[in-house]
Amino acid sequence: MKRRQFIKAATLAAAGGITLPYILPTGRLFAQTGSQLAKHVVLVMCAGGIRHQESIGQKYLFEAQYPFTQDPDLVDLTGNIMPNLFNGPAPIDKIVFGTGANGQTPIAPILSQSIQSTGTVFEEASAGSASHYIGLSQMLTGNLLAQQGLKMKPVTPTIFEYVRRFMNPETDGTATKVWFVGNTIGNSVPLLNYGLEAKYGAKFGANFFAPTITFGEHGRRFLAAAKNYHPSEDFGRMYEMRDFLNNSFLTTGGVLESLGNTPDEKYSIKQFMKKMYDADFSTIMQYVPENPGQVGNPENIPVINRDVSALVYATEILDYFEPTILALNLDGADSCHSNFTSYLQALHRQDYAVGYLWNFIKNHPVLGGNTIMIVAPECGRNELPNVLKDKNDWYAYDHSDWNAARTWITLSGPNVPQNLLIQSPGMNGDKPIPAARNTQIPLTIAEILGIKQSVNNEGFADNQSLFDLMG
Amino acid sequence: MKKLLLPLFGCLLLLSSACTKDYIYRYEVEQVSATDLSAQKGKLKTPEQYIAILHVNLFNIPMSSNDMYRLSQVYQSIGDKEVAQEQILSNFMNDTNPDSYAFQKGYQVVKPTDSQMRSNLSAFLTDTYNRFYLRYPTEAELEWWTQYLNAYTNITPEMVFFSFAISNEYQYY
Repeated sequence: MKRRQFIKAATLAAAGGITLPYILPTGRLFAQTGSQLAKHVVLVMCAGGIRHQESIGQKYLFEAQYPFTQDPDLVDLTGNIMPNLFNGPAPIDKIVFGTGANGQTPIAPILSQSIQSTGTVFEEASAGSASHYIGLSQMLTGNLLAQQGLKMKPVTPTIFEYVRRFMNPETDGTATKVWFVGNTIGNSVPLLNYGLEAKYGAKFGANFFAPTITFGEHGRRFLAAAKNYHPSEDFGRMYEMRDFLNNSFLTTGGVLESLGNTPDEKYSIKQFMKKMYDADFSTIMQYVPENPGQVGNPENIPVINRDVSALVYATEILDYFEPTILALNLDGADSCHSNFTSYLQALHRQDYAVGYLWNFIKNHPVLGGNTIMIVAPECGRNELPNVLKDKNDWYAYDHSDWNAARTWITLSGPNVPQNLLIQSPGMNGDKPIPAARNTQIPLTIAEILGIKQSVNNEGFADNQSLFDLMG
Repeated sequence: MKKLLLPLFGCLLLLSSACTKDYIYRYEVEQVSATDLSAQKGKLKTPEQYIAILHVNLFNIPMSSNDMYRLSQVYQSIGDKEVAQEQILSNFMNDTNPDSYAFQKGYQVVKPTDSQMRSNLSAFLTDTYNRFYLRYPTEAELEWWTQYLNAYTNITPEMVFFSFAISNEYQYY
């Protein structure tokens, strides 16, 4: 081929590749409705309820404990215990949130610059609910879900379903490109991978793991010694036989809801599971800076808790599948219902986990420079404590009053303004007016992935994106 | 004469109404086969039901309640239930691997050898349908299976069991 012909053909092919519409699973012709701001999105839902005051407010023990304990040592004892996320000096006394004996050694920040410095922070946001499951559901559906029950799937579509429905089903929208990682199966978390809306549902749902269980003690016991069937010679035949049985059942029975992983994708998931089982836990956690000298010491407070563990497994999923979207649920902070000290430790570890994740993404050959990370608590916690005290005589906090609706949201990555702090526009009486809503997260993700208009047209989700608020 | 007939008639009336035969009624249960020709099943098994029934179908032994609780948690921790079931089956079938749950519990999948299966395909298929589906195969099903298993001689009883256990009908009861 002559050079001129080659250039012409290559140009046409490239242009076709960019704009060529494709057929969606719904049968309609589709071309993406907007340009992408990034190819990948990671959403970290700091579940369990995080009080505004101890997180972004950096009030440490002064606001939460001094008014109720009158301990003079706590006067003006403020400081930042989430240094990977926010700017600000750490507390200088009563350090209990770190590692080692009584948690006196803070975990060194993993990021050289905080997320606040390198991204955008909505300092005052609002959760539509002060409860766990509904809080997470709202972040994934963009809907306040007034009719939502606690032990049922979301009544409107999740962002996972939008991604699979409106993105290329052969590439970015295929099942293994859409992941939800929970650190638990409690609080109905596994129900969040797809909703009940008739046009959506399982066939557009996200793959899900709760790594602390899937790859924990019980998962290893029951799943690690899987027989290695050949994907085509064995599984190919077994699927043929199964398909015959299913066809016979079609006339009288039902059809199971399936996530629609192709046989190749299912094999890929099993290979990933095998990889996780073949590597021991300490190998998976090798980059988490535990102090080996402290292991076995009952006074030692380790870095690795359920949140950190789930997050490190999430990075393995990111590395293996390079998903278009991965949402992660952390819930360690909910220990605040009965133990304020443990809550502070959990906040510090959630911050470390987010730093670990962002550091991993930045340095990943595919995800680096092409991923936007969003971090937000599912809800806040109360203004006033309950009656329970921990070993330090500090009061615990539930989540049910107006303060439990206070959250914050951070964004970082390409096309996100750097060092931008968007504050509350003012006060409503003695309560700050939120600058953003947690329900705006799904449309924000849709905008990042170039499907904002399609999602908006469906009419289920909040119709404002966080980018709309950045001015 | 009239005086004699009246008492005689009275006696006859008494005799005919005083003693009637006492019938003995016996109620029996009609013989019904537990297996059925029909594939009609409408209720989806819960994860616990699926695991418990699968365990009995494969090992002929019920699973302990502790193990069932733990395995159902693992089952719930995997989003794609097809993947979850295939992984559980792949482990149950690996009963000769010392690291497997089955080996450590001393369980073995109860299955015929390949030659036993092929020596009487009809009996094997009928047993398999009864075992997994609680029904008899139809003539059409038997025909398809016989042709299929004769065409692919590398298919083992284990693979047949696997396909039944991941099929839609097995998810229902």
